[in-house]
Amino acid sequence: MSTGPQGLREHFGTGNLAIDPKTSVFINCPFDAQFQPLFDAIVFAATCCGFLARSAMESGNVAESRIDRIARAVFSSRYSIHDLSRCRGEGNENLARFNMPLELGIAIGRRLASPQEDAHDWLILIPEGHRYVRFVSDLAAYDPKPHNSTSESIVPKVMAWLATRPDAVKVPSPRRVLESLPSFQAEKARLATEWGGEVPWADLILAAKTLVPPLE
Amino acid sequence: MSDVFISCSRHSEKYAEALSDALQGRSISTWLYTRDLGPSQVWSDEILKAMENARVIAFIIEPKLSPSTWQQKEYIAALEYSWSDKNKILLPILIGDADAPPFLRDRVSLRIQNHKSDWAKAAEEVTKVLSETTTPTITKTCEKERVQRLNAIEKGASALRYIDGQRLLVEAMKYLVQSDPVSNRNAIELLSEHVRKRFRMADVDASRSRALRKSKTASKQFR
Repeated sequence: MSTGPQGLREHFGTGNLAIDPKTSVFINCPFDAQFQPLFDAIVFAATCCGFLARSAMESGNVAESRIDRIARAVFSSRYSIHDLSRCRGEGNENLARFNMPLELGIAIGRRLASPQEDAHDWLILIPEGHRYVRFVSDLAAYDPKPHNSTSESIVPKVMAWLATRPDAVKVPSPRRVLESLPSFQAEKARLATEWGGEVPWADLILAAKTLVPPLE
Repeated sequence: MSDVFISCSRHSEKYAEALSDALQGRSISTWLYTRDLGPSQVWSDEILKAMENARVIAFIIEPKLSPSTWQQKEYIAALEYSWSDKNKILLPILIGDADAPPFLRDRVSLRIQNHKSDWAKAAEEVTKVLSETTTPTITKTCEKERVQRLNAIEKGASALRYIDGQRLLVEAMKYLVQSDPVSNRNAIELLSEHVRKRFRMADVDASRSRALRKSKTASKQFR
């Protein structure tokens, strides 16, 4: 699974996982246990659309700060997907996580810093009934896409957006992708067992690539 | 409600109007924002509604012209509608040497080279497409209404079955109490628990809630 033609291990950024900014999409979503099925759905949908999913988890370089790794991934991706589900108070102290808005801010910075022909583009996902307009009204113009926290609602949103980007290729239908999603999740669970829970990002993306449904 | 929704940029309005004229000359109805948006309407809602209701979504594509932000939204919506409605036809109409955007590249397109004669030909082709595809006997809106009505009937029927089931349990409890309340105590408690915990008001349509409440009161009085 994770070896190249010469039996060498494939690393993120090389070979089948070479980074082309035009087809790279940075995924800025929670990846806690509760959100995990949706995170998997987004990563798999992006792969099925011919894009390379990028994440803060892609680099195992612990000598670099997390924010630097994220900024590097965003700046080498033309696209990004941001789910703002977790921006609400949680736990006894009612603290909200601000990583997601911060990373969206990096993407906005990337857009402003780039020439028009290389402008960064993003999709913002929010759960239905999310009060983003009240806490971050600046996003209203970006037409966030609501979902009902199911793979069935999130996959068509992600695919319709990615499939209409200038660098898109022909994509399978969301129905086919949703049918294959459990196989990807099963393969991910198998990899997690093999790797003691810490699946390298490269292995995860290679697994997704092998399970992309054929075009109709 | 129209046969053909025409998606275009501001720059391509003249082509969209030429296509609309040619189609209307063949009695094919069209929807074009320059002609069909009325004052005070929420334009974004109206455009998406028109796209959803049209049988064909035609995209006017000019060479070297990147889609505007709104056009990209139309692309996304069109693709989503085509996934949810297999009868929806997406039709790229390419001006000169324009290329179709990636999501339309696998669709057969119509190319306009000669602006005097090609619009009539394009209208002829669209007419063929419309007549060749399965003509829906009911429109999308009608279909939605039909499904809603069926759902309402199904919901009503299910609520009735629900109430009948609850009444039956109450009758069973009455019978057990009247025949031998001591020996039947465990069975009565079991049924009572079932009525209290398994039947919930939230499970049924609000319109049926009054009938249910009455039924529940009956079971409470009995206990």
